[in-house]
Amino acid sequence: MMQDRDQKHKALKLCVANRWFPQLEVDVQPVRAIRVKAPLVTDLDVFASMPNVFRGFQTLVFDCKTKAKESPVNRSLWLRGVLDRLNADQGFCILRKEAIQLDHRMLATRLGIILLAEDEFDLYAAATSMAYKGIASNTSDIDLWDKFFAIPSAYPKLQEGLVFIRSAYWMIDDPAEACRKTLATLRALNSELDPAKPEHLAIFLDFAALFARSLAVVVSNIFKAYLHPANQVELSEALLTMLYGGHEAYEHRNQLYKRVKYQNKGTTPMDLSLPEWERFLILTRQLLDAPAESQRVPLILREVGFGILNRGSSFPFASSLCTESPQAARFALMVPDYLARAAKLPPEFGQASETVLLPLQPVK
Amino acid sequence: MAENTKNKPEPSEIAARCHEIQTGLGMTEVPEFDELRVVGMAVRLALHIRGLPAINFLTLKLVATHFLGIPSIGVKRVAETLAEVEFVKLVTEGQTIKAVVPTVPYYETLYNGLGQYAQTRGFNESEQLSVELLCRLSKAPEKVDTLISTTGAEKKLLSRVVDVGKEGAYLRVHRSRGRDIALSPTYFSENAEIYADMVAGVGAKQVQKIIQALGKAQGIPLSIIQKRKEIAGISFTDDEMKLVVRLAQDGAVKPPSISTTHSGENFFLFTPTPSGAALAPTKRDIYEKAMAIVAAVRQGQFLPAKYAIRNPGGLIYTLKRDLKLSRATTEATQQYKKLVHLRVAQLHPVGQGFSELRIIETPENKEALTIALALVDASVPAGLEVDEAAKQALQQDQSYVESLVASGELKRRTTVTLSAEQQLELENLFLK
Repeated sequence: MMQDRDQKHKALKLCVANRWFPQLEVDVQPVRAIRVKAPLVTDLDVFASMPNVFRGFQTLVFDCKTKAKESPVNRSLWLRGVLDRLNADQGFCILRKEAIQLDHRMLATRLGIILLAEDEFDLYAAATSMAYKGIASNTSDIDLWDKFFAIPSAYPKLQEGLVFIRSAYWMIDDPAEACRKTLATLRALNSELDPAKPEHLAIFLDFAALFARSLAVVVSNIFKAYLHPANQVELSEALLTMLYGGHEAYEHRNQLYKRVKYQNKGTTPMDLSLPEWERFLILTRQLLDAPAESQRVPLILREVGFGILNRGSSFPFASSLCTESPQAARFALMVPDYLARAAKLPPEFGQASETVLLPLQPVK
Repeated sequence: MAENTKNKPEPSEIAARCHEIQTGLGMTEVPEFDELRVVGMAVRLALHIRGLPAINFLTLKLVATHFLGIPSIGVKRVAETLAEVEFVKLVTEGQTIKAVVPTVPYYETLYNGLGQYAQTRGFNESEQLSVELLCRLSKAPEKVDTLISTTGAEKKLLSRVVDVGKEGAYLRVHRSRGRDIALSPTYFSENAEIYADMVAGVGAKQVQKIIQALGKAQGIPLSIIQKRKEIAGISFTDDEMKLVVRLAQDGAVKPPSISTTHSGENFFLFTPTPSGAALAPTKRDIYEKAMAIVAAVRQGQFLPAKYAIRNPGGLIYTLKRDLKLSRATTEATQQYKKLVHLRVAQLHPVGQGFSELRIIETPENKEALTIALALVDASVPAGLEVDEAAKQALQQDQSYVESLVASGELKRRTTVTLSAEQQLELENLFLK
């Protein structure tokens, strides 16, 4: 049974009501580990990504604490350290404590942390988000998160995928690297994933959500520098440079790649790029049509994935997300299509996602 | 026929030609054309829906029929074709299409994708010949006899294809120096020397005079020229005025038009060459956009409601730099409505009838602005005053017809009768 369940549930609800992208229970790993299996630093209760036009996403950490013993101010000092580790912008500390010293609250506020007693959270949430009280979505349903995290107990081979979703992904600072690694991890699972199983579809769509999240940041950066690249070559160069950590790093990798791949072959070597590069360029160029809207794609995809996990046939909340942002709805259709092809998954993955996402497209 | 072709056209060129043929023909029925029309319509529709979120199919049908010259019964097939090349996704209920979600790619991929589709589907003989002729004529005008011998096409088939081309105003046959010369008016810009040679040979001073005058004042409304009988200070005789109209018909001066409910259509005249630059086949829609921008600005310059645009070049420069105008005006809505139809710009109402013009930022639109700037920068024509009657009419609801279609319509509607001498002169121009 999940600890501090009620508090986490409320945090999830607040995130979804504000259209932030929440991640429940993120395991934090050390930055540079000495051991192969490094011991975890800590775990975060809820880690939320808030769309930001300039930065891609701002991030928030919700820390839910049941122990009455610990002093609130100590907890907020600890949380400040966690925020720094994750480059997060804002912290929430929810405590089962009746009275929190006002001075401690003030100190916490200066550290970028909001200290709240458990019974105050509802007031805070209702005052900052109109939708908080009536929210009904799959992503804010904590039972579905339990179900999602339990997938590896039925399908042990998918454990690695779950670890990536719950931890490894969130430890990557660079969005382009996160794109690459999300794709690579999904590719590694391609022989295990079966489109006939809703659990597998849910995992696929969650990977798509994470991929979309990082891609949105990449697109935001490209947009700031290039607006709309004048031609395909320019876009391609911009993306390669960004994906592989700068021009020099790309050249270095590319040379290694060509040497290894085309060692004893007479064929003309192809340059290093993501799989299905042409499609990736097309997808990225489409996202550049509305870079800010692309930041709303992850929540749509996770909502749909969890809906499938819940054996749902209608997706009312995902549908309202799509109506709020028709461009995001369109992008949400395109991301799984690319990802399924690039990860060489059975084609049914792309088709199944399309079957769900097409009817959600808002039509005036 | 195809095996005689020395250089097989690239897929992107095939798609571009189909687009051109379809744009020219519009709603005209040509029984022998099938796939070609579909590909042409597909390019046209793809260009217009690119980057948009899901579109209700009924709305799409209306817009396609009204603005893009795609017959309503053809829209479904075009949408299915686009779905086949993965340029759109279709939301369907049974056999019915409910909505279309565009995933149309940018850059050359659009033309390549549809060109490859055309190659896979295969064209019939007439279609192949039409595309091939257009590909060849875009490079240089050719003698009809040479076309027959090199394409290996039957004379009957070729003459039918040429007739269809004439109907669509994407192909012309002129009799010159005792031979039939076929040329593509769309790409006349690339053949300026040959055209000059043709007219120079017969001393067509009048034609040259008009072309030169138009070059100095690109996008002047035809009605203004007719009223003032001059362009940029160069005055015309009545006979020369008829030549201006005649040249417009021949597609030598491509006229975009704005139609109003009260005074019919107003045509804005351009020379065949966009500021001397050669027009790449896939840049056709960009040039159309550029002409539309110039036409809109010229309208504000010559036929404004209250405040005339004094420096059209400066205005386009501002648009190019800021992608919007420095302040909202009451006239913007009427003046730039057609740019909204062409998806060059958006009008943002800011209250009290004021609207602000904002360019939709795409590579194509920016390029169109660059071309538009070059078009108007040639010079600022002087001595033209505001026509109150035309100005009034232009304030009414407008619909914009793209240049090729407008050219075709003008041709169908009015045949300008030339004076006996002028007729003779024109015949001589192309006969000798």
